[in-house]
Amino acid sequence: MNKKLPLAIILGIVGIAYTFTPYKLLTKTLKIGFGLRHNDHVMIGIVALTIAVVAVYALINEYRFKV
Amino acid sequence: MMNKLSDSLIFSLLVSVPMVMLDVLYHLATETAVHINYVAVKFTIIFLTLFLTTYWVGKSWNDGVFATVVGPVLFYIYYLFADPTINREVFRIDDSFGYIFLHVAVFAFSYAIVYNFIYRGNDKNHKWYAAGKAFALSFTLFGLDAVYQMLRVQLTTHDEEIVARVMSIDMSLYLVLSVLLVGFLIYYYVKNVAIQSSVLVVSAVVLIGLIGMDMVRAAVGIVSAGIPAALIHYYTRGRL
Repeated sequence: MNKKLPLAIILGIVGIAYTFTPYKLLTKTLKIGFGLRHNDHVMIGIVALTIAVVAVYALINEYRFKV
Repeated sequence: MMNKLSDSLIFSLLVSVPMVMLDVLYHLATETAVHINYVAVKFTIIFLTLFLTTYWVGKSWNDGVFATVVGPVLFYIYYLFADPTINREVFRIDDSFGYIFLHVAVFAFSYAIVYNFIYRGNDKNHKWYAAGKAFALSFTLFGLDAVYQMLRVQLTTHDEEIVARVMSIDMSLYLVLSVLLVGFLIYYYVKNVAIQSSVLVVSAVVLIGLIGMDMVRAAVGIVSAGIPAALIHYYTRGRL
């Protein structure tokens, strides 16, 4: 298995969780707010999403050239 | 020859700073706020997208299209979900859907110019090679100079609304166009690297001093012009 795949999956989940989950759900219910503000969560999420999206593109590229 | 990491880092920097600064010029021309925090977020997302694409996949027209579309879309998602940090009743910012197309256009333009001049490296007497280098130099210099101006006001006033009014379209255009012209002439006609770099830095300092009427800013221009000139030289050196 390509090393980028687990990285892309994990970062994709982190990105989706931090970008799209409401602030209260993230901090009060899930308790993964780490005392940060909402915009910090969105920024962490977007960075994680960026890495995940590019990792998926890199994987598609590798697969395309293998076939 | 440089390794892949430094190659990707320098290439991404030479594309993403001019992209952000082209966008800044458009904002200044249309009286949309140039807010330091949003510019920083925009630069981070655009730079990261391009750097990872270049590092993991490579540089080609296809990869350029991918990066130029994905970067602005991710930036738009940030705008959708983040809380506003500047008073929207006073300032208009680039958070509407239509700005994705502007961001894609300026990103694609910047990518095309830098990519084009890199792959014309074997024809160093070509005018587009000099024009590409001058483009990367002038917009990166403009970016570093803008960072200096905005950070200075941010650190002294701690007021984002004053910082958003620091830059003006006329001064920015004078600076960019004059450095673009001088850069093109120097890159096209001067072939000795030491003379080329010295003349570039000295002319940039003089131009910043004359246009900005600020000697401290002009002195900082040694760094603002020296960094892009050194990066462009380092990046193109191994390819000739």
